[in-house]
Amino acid sequence: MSNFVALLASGLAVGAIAALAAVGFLLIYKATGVVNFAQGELITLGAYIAIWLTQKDGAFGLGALGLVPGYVVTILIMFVIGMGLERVAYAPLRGRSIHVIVITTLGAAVVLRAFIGLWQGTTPQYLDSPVRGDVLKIAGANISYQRVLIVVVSAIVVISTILLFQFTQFGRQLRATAADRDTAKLCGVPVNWLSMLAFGLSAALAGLAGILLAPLGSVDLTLGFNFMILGFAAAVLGGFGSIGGVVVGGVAIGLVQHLFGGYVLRDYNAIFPFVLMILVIALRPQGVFARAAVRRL
Amino acid sequence: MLPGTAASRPREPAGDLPARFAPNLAHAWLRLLDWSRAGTKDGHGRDAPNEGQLGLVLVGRGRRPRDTGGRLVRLRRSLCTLLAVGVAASVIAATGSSTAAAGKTPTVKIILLAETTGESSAAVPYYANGAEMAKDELGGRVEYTRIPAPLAPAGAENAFQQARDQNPNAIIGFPASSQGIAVSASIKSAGIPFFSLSSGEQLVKNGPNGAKNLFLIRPIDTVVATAQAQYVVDTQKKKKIGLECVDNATGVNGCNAARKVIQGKQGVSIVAERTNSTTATDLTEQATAMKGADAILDYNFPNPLGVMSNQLVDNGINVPHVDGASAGIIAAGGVVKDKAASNLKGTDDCVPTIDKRSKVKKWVSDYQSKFGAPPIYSAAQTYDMVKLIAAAAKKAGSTSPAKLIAAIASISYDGICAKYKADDLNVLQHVANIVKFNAQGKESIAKPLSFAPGALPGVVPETTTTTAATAPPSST
Repeated sequence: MSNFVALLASGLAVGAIAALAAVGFLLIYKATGVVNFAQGELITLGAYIAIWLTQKDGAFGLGALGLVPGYVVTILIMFVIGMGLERVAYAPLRGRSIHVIVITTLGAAVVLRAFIGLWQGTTPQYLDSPVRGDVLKIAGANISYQRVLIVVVSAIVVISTILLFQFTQFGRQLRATAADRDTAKLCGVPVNWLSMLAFGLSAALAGLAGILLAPLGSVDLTLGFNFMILGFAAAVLGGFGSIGGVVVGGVAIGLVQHLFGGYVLRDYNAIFPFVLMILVIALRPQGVFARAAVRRL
Repeated sequence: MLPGTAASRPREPAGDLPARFAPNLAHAWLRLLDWSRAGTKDGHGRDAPNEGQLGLVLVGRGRRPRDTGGRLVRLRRSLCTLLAVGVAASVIAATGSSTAAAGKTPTVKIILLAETTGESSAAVPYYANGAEMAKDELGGRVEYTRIPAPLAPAGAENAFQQARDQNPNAIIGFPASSQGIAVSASIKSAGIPFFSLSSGEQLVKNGPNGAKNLFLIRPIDTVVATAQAQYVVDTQKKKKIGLECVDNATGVNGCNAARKVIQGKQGVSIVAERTNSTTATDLTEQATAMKGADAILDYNFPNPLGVMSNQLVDNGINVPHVDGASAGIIAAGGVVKDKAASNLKGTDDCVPTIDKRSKVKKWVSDYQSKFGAPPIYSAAQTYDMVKLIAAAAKKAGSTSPAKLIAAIASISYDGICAKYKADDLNVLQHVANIVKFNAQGKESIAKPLSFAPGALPGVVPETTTTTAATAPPSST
């Protein structure tokens, strides 16, 4: 039983991070129709900025910030970086083939990774957490508070994002842009500004994912890459449609990898999320939670 | 008569060749100036006159006469002077070479095949820093170049061919065994001394990917992995062992070596054996599987090792957790602290920062002031190799591959990491250390190890020595 509980907790934590990455994908996809493959490097960058702000002498030798203020400033910086990324990697290519823009986001990922390497080096580093080392005992299993924190914070953020989508002008405009960009533009929706905001929010979510994930192990240049792939798989499962769909996709991916993979083919559990993704693509290409578009002629 | 013609030239002095060619060099320079001026334009876009043509220019109202015959003569003279310059340069070069051959230390051309910070996600600055430091100290005795060598075999091969095109006297390179193995055929055919920064068992002289000209700087990795397992089983007397292996050559070779040691001991068993990927960020299943083990042998990469160390403690498993060189890296990065750090042990074949010898202390201090960070084994090893190659070239009195290889094979060099001496397998270093960490992650030596020269795993007796280069006498 204790083993089951421990695996369930780790599956939920991994699923929560994958869900954050997937929501980041979805935000940009809704606003621009582009899948941003720099999302993984943005997760890594978030973790490094948090380390930079909270450790040793802090940013520019101004003194280290406390952990929670450091995290908040990191998320704000990531928001600005996201908007900057939109300006340099998406805006100049607006109107070009979608493939060109997607390749550009991959290029941006490579540049971000090289920048982090030059700035922080490649030696693994550690990001501290307010709950480091503490464990919660449930049914004989020791579950680190960091995992509990990941699940709780992700749930709050996802619910807030759903509310933002459903009940604010930004959300309505974003949904209108996703439905038909040109019509939304004709109706006065500021689509360019919207795409900047979407990139900013997506990067902020990636920064949060990096902050939550980093204290579990060490931080190096590959930290976010896996979660970018898992987030993409979650978005595919959810059909790139609703936030709820991609979140369920993320959680499903975490559980299938860690809970199912904890008992079956343990040494190959990393492949299960992608087996699931391929199955979904084969059996229900529009995603588990999206409705297929039917056009009457 | 125009200046510089054969009749106006002074007679060449007799004596040594450089002295004889000096006036000709000056003359060639003048001729080149003369020629180049002839083609320049004045402020009105006309051909500008040169000194020798001044009178003619005035007569011709700024236009140059069509003096085809004179131009041919000038062309011939210029070609002659250029030829003379070439001959002079060759003579000077030949004179220099003959000086070297006559017993002076030859300049040795060394290429390092390794990436530095920013060139890939795995790149570290240490290899380049160490080699550069040695080059600066040796001055003109070494000509040094670095070529980035990616981890992918095709990229490594490409980097090696680039290096070969530059006709080096020796190459140091390839931090990963997979690179050296992939390029081994080219290394062998090049015949140039090659110093491998990785130490896969396949690369030893009589191994499947070895060569006479291929030297291993570090102890063979499976020998170290075996010693790591012997430390747990023989020294720490642990009976129930957990095995964790990263899913690549490091993990597979390490776990194979450990399995041999464990299976060869009565009463010792493997409680659980698990693998993980190099990018794993959650090892809950692997950590919980280790319950019941009284020691864990881990052959891992730094990131998953950090995850595993912390998750073991989270799950209440506080037993010795012994890894390889990754342990020192994560401890230095603050990834493990408190119980996770004090449970952790590692193996390190060179720890310059805790070496008590005065020359190493000075080197560490010089390195830190030059590069702003303390050195690790890789910096010390490239530093040592550049110096070793220079010493071998001095001994050989030549940079020819055959003489240099013979000198390297016979030389004994006392470096920062160790006393290097090639054995029958072309392995240069035969010491390592089991290292431990305090709760803050500070490293110290738990046990120095030395390996019999020329021995492969399975026949390596575990020995304790006080002569290991990096072993301070106070180590326990």
